[in-house]
Amino acid sequence: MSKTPVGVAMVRVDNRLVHGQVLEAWLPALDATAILVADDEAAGNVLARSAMTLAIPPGVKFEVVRLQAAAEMLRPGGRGPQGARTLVLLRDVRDAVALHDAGVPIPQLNLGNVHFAAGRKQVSQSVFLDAAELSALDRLAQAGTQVEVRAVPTEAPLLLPQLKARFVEA
Amino acid sequence: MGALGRVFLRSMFLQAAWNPRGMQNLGFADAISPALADLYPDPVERAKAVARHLEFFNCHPYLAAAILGGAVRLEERVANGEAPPQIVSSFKSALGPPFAALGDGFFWLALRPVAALAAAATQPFLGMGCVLVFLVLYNAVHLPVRLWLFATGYLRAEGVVDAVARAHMASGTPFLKACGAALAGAVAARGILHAGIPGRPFAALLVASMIVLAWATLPRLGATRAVYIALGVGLVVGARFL
Amino acid sequence: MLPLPPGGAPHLFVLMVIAALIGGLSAIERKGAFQVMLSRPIVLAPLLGWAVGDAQGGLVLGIPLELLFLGGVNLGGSLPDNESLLAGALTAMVVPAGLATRTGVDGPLAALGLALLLPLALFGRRLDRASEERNTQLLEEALSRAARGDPSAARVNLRGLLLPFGAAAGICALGVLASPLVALARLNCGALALAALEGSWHVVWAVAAACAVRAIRDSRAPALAAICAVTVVAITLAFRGLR
Repeated sequence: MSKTPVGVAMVRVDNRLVHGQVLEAWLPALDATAILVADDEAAGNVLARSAMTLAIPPGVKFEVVRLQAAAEMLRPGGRGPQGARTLVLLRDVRDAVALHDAGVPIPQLNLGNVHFAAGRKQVSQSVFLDAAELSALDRLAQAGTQVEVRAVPTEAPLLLPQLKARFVEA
Repeated sequence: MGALGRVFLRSMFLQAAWNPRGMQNLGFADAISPALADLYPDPVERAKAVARHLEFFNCHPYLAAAILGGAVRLEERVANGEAPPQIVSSFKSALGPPFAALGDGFFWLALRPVAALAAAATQPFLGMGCVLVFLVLYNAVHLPVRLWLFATGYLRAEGVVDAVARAHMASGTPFLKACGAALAGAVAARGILHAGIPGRPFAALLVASMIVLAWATLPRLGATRAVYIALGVGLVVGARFL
Repeated sequence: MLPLPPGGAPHLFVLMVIAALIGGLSAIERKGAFQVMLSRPIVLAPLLGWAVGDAQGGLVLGIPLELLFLGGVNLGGSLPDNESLLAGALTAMVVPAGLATRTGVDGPLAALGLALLLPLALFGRRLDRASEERNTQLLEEALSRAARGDPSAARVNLRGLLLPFGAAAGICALGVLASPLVALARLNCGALALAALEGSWHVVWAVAAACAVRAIRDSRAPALAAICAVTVVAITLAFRGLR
């Protein structure tokens, strides 16, 4: 069983990155003091970065870095994130896999919003997955990651076996 | 100008067909259609533009007005051949989520509860007038802000982020929430006094302790169970003592 | 013989139509159109109460309902309990019942009605979810029309309002239909039952006030609320003591 990297409160996959569910529901529930967005597209987009910065409440540390930089930061022995309790946001399931393959331990992975796309099937109100993503999540689970779908903390979490069942049904 | 007015009016129906796959996409495409009709006289081109706007979109329904205004301005650039269509799409996806967070935090979690609490706290003095207190407090902020966001989005396009940043929308939130907490206290006092009015100090104490107990257990119980327990407790003590 | 509001059975039918119309419109206003907060319990209950004959009675229901659901919030795909459906149906049932019993909406009637209809808030959330899932069909229709070159493809948007309107209208009309039964129950309450129900309503108010404090998501909220509550009680008692 892998240990949570120092300073990481939760790793979340969310196509929308910084939005209301993250700031108004997760931040207080996790008692998080910082947000780290690990996403190449956001890191390269000035407009997206400045809009996100605008929404971050005062007192919460905020960083947007490329995925590779995040992996180096969060790997054992890396410099670690800015805050003592950081919420790490990733855009896609494949980014979580990339972080894991780069040596970042992810004991718990929360899936918040993964939008519909060709090939993806609906497994919860706000999460759509394709077969490749589901098997990637399976691989993470075998490596010791607890995978859950939960948009906001007050919801009951859906776990990987339920996701698989729903995928087959859909 | 006529088209812009219609776009703003249709923005009021942004969530009419909210769906898990595209969220506010149908509402957005429908709202921007009058502007597209002016920009793309050829129906086939126009249908293509509408189809572009059927991509995923979600935001706070009020803050979306800024993005809608900005999208109209960017569509003008696209129609004039000054920019590729992708700029509209990337503008929408860059601003949607963070603006949603701003709107959720300010309107849903600060202004609305505070306006409602102000109404509940003034009801003993104003009677039916308290309904107007709620509607006026809320909409005197909501409607002008929504209009300003739409106009600023249209006039400034990408610059709307700076304009919203300078408006410091979120800076009033802590003050609003403090007012809300104080008003909630006043409302609680009203419940206590009302139960205790005709010389029933025991009932007043009972209600006061139920407020504290409910406050402590609500996160675990949830509102529905808490209300049923309250109804049961009330039945028992009501029959005995009141 | 069931107790009916003044005007009897034909009037009850008129009230059903009124409640259906206002309840249905509130379901639309809540998320699909305008969102100027006409569908919040604190507005909807007195408004619908006025339309069916007793605005004040509606307000008696609307304020605690507003407080109970004050913290509910629609964040993206995550839906809150449907406070509007509950407020609409409860008002549609309890206000005509109060007219029939000639007591108006008092504590016992309100507590009785709430005990019966509270699950509607959760049911309403399920209904919302179902109608949103169904909107995916509208999206598919719009996509295929746009692909065929139809520039008005997105107009299907407004059809998403029909289902919420219909469902809420039907439920609110049923509320009016159930009102004579609630009136009958109220009339058959003895003194002990009335005192018990009155007590229930006070304790519901207590839970509502606690929900209101919880709705303010701020670490200072409980302390500020407590200070203010104690101050208000103390000042009121001081004045009353002096008089």
